Amino acid sequence: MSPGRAPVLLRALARLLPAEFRREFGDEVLAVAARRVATGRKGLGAESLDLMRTVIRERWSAVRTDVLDLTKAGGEPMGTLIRDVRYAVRMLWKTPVVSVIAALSLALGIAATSSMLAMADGFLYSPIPWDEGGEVVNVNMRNPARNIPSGGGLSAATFFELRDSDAFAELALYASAITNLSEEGRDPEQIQRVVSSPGFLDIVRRSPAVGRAFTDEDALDGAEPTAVLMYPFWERRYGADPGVIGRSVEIGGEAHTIIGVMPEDFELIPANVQVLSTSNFEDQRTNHLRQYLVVGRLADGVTLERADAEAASVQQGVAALADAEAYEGWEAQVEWFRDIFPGPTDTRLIQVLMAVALFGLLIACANVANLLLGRAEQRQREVSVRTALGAGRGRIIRQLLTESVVLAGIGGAVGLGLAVMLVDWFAFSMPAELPRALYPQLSPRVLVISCAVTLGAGVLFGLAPALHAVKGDLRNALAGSRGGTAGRSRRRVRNAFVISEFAVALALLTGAGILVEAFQTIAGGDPGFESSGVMTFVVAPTADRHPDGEALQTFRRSALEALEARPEIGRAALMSHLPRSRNGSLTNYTIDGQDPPARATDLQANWVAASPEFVDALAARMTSGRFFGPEDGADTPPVAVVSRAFAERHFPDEDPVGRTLHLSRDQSGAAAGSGRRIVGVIDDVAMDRLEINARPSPTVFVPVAQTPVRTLAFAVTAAGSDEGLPPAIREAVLSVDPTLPVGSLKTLDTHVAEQLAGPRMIGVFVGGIGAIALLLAALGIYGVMAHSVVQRTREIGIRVAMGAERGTVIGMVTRSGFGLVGVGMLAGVPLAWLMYRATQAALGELVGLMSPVGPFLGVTVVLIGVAAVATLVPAVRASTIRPARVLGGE
Amino acid sequence: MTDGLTERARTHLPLTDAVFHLMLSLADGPAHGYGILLEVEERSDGAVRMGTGTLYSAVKRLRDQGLIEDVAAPADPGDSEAGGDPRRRYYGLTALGRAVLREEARRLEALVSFARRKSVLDAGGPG
Repeated sequence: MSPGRAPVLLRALARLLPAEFRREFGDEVLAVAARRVATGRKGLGAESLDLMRTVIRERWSAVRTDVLDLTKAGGEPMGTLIRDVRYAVRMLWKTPVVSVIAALSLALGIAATSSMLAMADGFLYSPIPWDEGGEVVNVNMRNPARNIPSGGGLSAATFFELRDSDAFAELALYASAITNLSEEGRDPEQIQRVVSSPGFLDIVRRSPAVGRAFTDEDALDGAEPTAVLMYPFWERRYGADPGVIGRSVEIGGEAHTIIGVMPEDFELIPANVQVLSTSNFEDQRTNHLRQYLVVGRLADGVTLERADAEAASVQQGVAALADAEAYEGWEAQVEWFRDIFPGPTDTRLIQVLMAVALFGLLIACANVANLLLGRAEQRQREVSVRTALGAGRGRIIRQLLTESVVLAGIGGAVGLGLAVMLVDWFAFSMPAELPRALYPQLSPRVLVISCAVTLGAGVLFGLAPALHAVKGDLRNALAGSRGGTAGRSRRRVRNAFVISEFAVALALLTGAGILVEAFQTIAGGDPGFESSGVMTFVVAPTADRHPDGEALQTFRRSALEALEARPEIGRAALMSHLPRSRNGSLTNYTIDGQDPPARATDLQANWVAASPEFVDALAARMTSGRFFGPEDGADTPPVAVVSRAFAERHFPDEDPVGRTLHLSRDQSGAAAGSGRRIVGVIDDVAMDRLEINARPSPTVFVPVAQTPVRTLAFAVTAAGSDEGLPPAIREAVLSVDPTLPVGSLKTLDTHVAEQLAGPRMIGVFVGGIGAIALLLAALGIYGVMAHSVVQRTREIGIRVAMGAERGTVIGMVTRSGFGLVGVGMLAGVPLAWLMYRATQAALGELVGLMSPVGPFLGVTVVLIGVAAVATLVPAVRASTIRPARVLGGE
Repeated sequence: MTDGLTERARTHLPLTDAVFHLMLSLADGPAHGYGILLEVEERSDGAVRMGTGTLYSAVKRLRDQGLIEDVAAPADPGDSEAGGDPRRRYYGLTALGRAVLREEARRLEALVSFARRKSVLDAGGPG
């Protein structure tokens, strides 16, 4: 019985046998197996199963033989290695363009991968130094109805009840706020201070490096106030002078004694804190504002689940006693601190970025393998000669692998250099609130993994060309003929590379497109204000000098007057917070004449208190009505201006001017009773740091004259040149209150750039990798098409001689190129879909649903365009082939 | 007596069941693949069932180790089913292969005689 009549299943399996085995025994195995099945001596199933086992056994044994060959090749390993490396460098030097392109592709891929590893290492795998055991818990609130899964602050009332529960061994609350520090003989300074309840430093298991920690007595009412400095602040302001211990400074207008300095590596979240102080918060026992951060450690034997259940029930008890509205929809929960930082969104985002980087590296590897495969073909003769001279198969594979590992080494070194710069740039783009422990870092383990990736890449892209180089037929190669099975199989491998490059590029670019689009969306298009030429700063008048609302209003008026009196200053506006701020305020509201929401907390908008100059200083635009004027004061009817998004949400078909709003922020005064009359609609101003809902949030503006605020942000324009602005601003503020420091003095451009640095960085990074991937994929297909034209020169020459038109030749070459691209695109669709799902999961809370269609179509068009160019160039060259020359030449 | 051949043969021990059966079926003279399978099955009364792929894997390995070799088809074909066919490849034991087979048989014999001395085989069994 001939093998041709063997069952198709057996024939298919036999094709999987290693070539050497198949050549020798393939037909026999099929013939014997077919005969046994036909004569009923053995079942088809049993034979197939056995053949499958044989395939695996023989494949494995072939790999083992090759590896053994490699290790055996060469008598003195070191001497051979050095010779190999030397030879490799010489060979790489011989084809400098290919080598440089290959090394550069790898460098880019490795730089992207290493810097993402550094990001992941810093952010995901380095615990905050004081939570290395992962035992610190955070008690916070969630609001399922409003889709806030975690992170809401706890009220002091809940904290006190919870502290008495036996679920926690230790529990402390803290709050951070901007305040001022002043002392004799020095400029006052605006600082960020954390006030915590006693035991806070015990929970984080840290004590001051200099001086002493807080005691319970320090926290008592009426005790002399004390302060502990954070190390960087101590270093900067006091030159690390240990003599500051015992010194008295004014913080928030109250005398504090400095008792200690925290160690250098101690950081809190937020990290930009300068001073710690303590209080027992006893006067807050009945305070139901959800504003405190609470950390602790569980009692022995208490599980997180039990503590969580305990917190929920304690919270319900507190809510039952209190005004129900304060806690409406909010539930207390206990989470491991390590699960909150980094949060799930950060984790998924970094994972997606990691995948993007790895895809980039994969494309680089495929491309380099392709380049080397092309070169291996050109070197077929050399390999054949060396084989003929007695070099073993293993020896030659080893030589070629050395070449690719040397290439990878060069690429890896350049890549790591680039990664150092990228990591610096990432670190620069991190928000100031983030502890340095979470910054991206090229730690030893990142370096080790990067080196392993480099080496792995070298072997990965070196193996295919190396194995193919030794498979060539000796006689054919020496005789200078091409084609044959080895040539065909090489072409298949190169085609496979191009196909997979396009598949991966499609997926990568779709992911990149979605990320870039998402971050462009949340960074906003038109922010609705003009940031250039505007100087901003923040002041926080203290309670001792400006005790009540009236005093604050006086301060506000005098500050604005003092600023505008300066000749350097053009306009000066004042607001509760700057546009694009992290720490905006919110308010709930109802509208007269419209159905109230099911719950008072359902309607929420940004809340901004602003002075009349807001519109002028920031070049904001009114769409109807008016902004505030000097006529809107504390004694005149309460008014409000709403943003266009607000107007569109509630008044789609009418002008809201004249309607009345009730804000939850207006808890006293005239506005609490009568509400506020809407006097104008302002075009959307981007008050949020990021527009996570893909457009500016609805915002309500109220006149700062009708609502005193304690932290004031100023926006000032220059009258002429803006050089003299900073000193003019300082002098103007000091003329109103000589103890009041000016904080965060910077241009609005700088402020906006700082706030958008993170998303911008991600956008540039992802876009950059996408562009590189596109370039590499284009180079890949160009290489393959150009090569195929060279291979087919003779055939094309004959066709032209037989009368083929130029167009026909171009069409022929282009078709085969587009065939590859088409298959690659088809293969890429499911990959792109996976990438889209992963990206969507990462961005879920950020932008909700993003359609993949736009980026996908865009990317497809671009890829096809790139493929067209990369295919057309060789095709046009093919069409200029002159038959006489080609056919005469051989 | 231990000559060099025996010495070398012992480095190949012990053999797997399949390899032992394969080599045993070549003890009487060369056979082709199908013939080997037939003999193994018949000799063991169907107890040893070897897949075709496994057989050729073993053939390749034994040949690489120099225990069997390709031989010319026998001039006088045997029974009809294993019939001589010039297109088929026949395999025969090399001198080393024969020594390996002998040493493996001796090894097994020694094992069995140990067992016999312990009266392991007397205690019942399928008679």
